[in-house]
Amino acid sequence: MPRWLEILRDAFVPLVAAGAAFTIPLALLSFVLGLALGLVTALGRAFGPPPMSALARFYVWVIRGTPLLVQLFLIFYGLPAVGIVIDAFPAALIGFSLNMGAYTSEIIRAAIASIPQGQWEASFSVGMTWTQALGRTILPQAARVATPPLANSFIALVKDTSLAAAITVTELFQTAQRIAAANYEPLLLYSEAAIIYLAFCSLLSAAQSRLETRLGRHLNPLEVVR
Amino acid sequence: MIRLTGIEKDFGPTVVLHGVDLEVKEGTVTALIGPSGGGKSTLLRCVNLLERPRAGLLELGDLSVKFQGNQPPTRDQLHAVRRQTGMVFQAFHLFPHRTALGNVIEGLLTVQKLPRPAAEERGRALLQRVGLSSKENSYPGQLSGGQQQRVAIARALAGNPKVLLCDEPTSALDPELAKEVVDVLTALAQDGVTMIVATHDLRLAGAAASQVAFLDGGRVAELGSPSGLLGNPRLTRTREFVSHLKG
Ligand SMILES: Nc1ncnc2c1ncn2[C@@H]1O[C@H](COP(=O)(O)OP(=O)(O)O)[C@@H](O)[C@H]1O
Ligand SMILES: [Mg+2]
Repeated sequence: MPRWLEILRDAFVPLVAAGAAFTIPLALLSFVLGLALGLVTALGRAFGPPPMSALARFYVWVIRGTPLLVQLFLIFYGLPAVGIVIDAFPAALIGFSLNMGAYTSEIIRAAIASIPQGQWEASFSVGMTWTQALGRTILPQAARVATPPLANSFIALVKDTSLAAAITVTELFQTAQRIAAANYEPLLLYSEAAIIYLAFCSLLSAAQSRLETRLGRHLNPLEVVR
Repeated sequence: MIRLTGIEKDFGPTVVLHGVDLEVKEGTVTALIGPSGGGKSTLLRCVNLLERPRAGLLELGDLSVKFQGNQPPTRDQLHAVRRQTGMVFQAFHLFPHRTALGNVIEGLLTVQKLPRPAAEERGRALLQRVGLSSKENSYPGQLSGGQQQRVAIARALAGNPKVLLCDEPTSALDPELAKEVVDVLTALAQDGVTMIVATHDLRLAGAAASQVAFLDGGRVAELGSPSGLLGNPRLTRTREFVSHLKG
């Protein structure tokens, strides 16, 4: 076996282990929490009373207007100065969730707004309450509209989790850095890390297509393409 | 008995309904005709409270809702009114993510909280009534406009409303497809379904209705029997409009 292949093989298990232990859980948990936060923020902004709407706008404005890396540093290195000490993984989880929440809220808000007013009125006309109309008529249709941009955000998030390396989370990229520092093979190690990210993101893209098909059962093939 | 008394509605500075009085006997059809912008849609939407009148009295059988000042109707009133009315929209507004049967039973499941088998049984009977038994598993996107509107009629009837409100139910359809919707509504009228129908279709206003109201500038300008109002209108304005309808 050539030496380069041996290096890749030896690094494979620790890299995948770091991915399984940190990268994937961090991405999945942040996405789920961020999605919940995004939904609440979108609803608060679109339908809440003025103070709630203003709060939602403020949150989105701050998060979108500041670099993710700076946010992570603030949470992990900054907050201890005021007595709030958070471990690296939960700090990363908070940072990524807040970030996802801001971006997904805009996606969800746009998706809800794209559903015609007639759908609300039809729901009311059969006797539904506002909450039932939202839950049974509007959100299921909005979910189909929002799936492609949400999947985009999720895939971006998977890659962004590599930033957690900077706040000492021993995720995939940090592990690659550590091994490369020991064996002086950065080209091989970072290439291998890149391929593992690529493989995971490809799986997600495939899952996205299946989800779109399922949520779009009612659409005819032409509309799905469009 | 459905009775509207002194219904007024504004959108900000524009007053759209100037005190409309209308009485609809159970088992009869009232046609609303009149120029575009005359307030037909707004009046129908006031009956199921998609719009809130600023003044007037709405009576649906035993239920009565009085509008005054900025007092919104209570939640209970709102839901009672919605349960006693069914609405058919010009543009159908079917739920695109549900099948024909799913559309019809949606209110039965979520509002009446019927168990699914009972809801489906009733839904199938309604689809049969509008001639669409074979389409229960089709999504709206797979149906013609006429079929979609018939599903919408079945959906509006599902809750067994006191009155069916139809807002230009055939205006978005080709003449041929409009006919199948007219036929379904006419059959329902013969079965004694109470309806208020805003329409430009003389088949609906003439054959199916027992009274016709000419709504112009937010007022019932003239009210009469189909033969009277369409055949020999009292007002010049009505006469002009009717002759325009007859083309
Ligand atoms: N949501 C609304 N906001 C402002 N004006 C409205 C609104 N809906 C209807 N109108 C106005 O009310 C008047 C009556 O409209 P409508 O009830 O749709 O009449 P019709 O159905 O007889 O054509 C029109 O002048 C229309 O512009
Ligand atoms: Mg209209």
